[in-house]
Amino acid sequence: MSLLSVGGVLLFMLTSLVIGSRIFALWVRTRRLPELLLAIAMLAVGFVAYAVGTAGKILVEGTPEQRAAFTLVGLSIECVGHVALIAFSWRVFHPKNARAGAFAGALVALIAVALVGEIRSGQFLRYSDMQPMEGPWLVLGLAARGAAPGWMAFECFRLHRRLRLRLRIGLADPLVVNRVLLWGLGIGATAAGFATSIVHRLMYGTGLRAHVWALTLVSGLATVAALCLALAFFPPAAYRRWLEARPGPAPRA
Amino acid sequence: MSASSTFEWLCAELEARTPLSKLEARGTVRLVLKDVGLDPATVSAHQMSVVLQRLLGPALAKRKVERAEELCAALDRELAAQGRQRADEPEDTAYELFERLESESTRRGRK
Repeated sequence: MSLLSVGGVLLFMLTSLVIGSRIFALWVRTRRLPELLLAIAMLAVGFVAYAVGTAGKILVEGTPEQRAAFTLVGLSIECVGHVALIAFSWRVFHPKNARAGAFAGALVALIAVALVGEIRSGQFLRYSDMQPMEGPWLVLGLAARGAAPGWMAFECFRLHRRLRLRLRIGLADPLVVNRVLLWGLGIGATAAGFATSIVHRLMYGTGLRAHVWALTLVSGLATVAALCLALAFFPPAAYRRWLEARPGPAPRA
Repeated sequence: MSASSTFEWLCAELEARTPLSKLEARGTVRLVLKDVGLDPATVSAHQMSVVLQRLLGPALAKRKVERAEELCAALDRELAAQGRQRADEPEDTAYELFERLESESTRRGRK
């Protein structure tokens, strides 16, 4: 396993830890629900679940029971993070829309059903070993959890499109408009990582570690996610100046 | 006046002060808002003020409304007067949330 294959994932974990902690600190000041939900999602999915899950895969030279415990705890934490991300998308993008609420509820239910299925069938162990999966539970679980960042990315791109129009009449800050795009790209890259995992499972039955190319691809997506989120949260002064100097869309006659 | 009631108020005023029907007035405002990425359900008084100052006049003139610019200026003044009387309660709109999602150094750099 080359450094290139895992470097992106490590970078993503570090970025999630730093930005998740900063957003949590923001929540301490503002006490607003979206900040709390996003902080939980970033820390749970991007850092803690990866760390615990990775420990289950490679670091623990212990009994199968220990490996199973690490994998189960990591998976559960990941589910909590994705539920927070779904609640964030609903609360931020469609707070008064009952249909969006129903959609969010359906996604949460799907995550719960998939988790129960993965545990009861014992298939969750396939996340930490190299045996091929059996049955639909792993693919269902990956799809359900991957839908959370997928939905948020979709909403970010939609919002970005509207905000670009608002730029025409000075009703949006170019930096904020660009930030929405970067969050869409970053979270979208993590959704693409889930899609890659699903395709790999359907093709080979095993996890990504079975093929360096698959691991490198996901690591590349994780690098894109990390860079986009870091640029969104910590834009360098030169980047800010470039955004502000850039001509926006021309006003319509 | 909540955000969506700003839209309702403006449409009612246009219906009362111009030859436009209710449907035409609402449709005209909706189209103008859509053109600049604003949602009638969440448009704020400040956003509507910018629309009145810069966009609605030409849109009304296209629909043969006389003295459209004067009307928009008057409506903008009335909107401002109403806006001063109410306490604005910030909503957790997506834009406001993303505006807050930045580091301290970025925030300081913007001030």
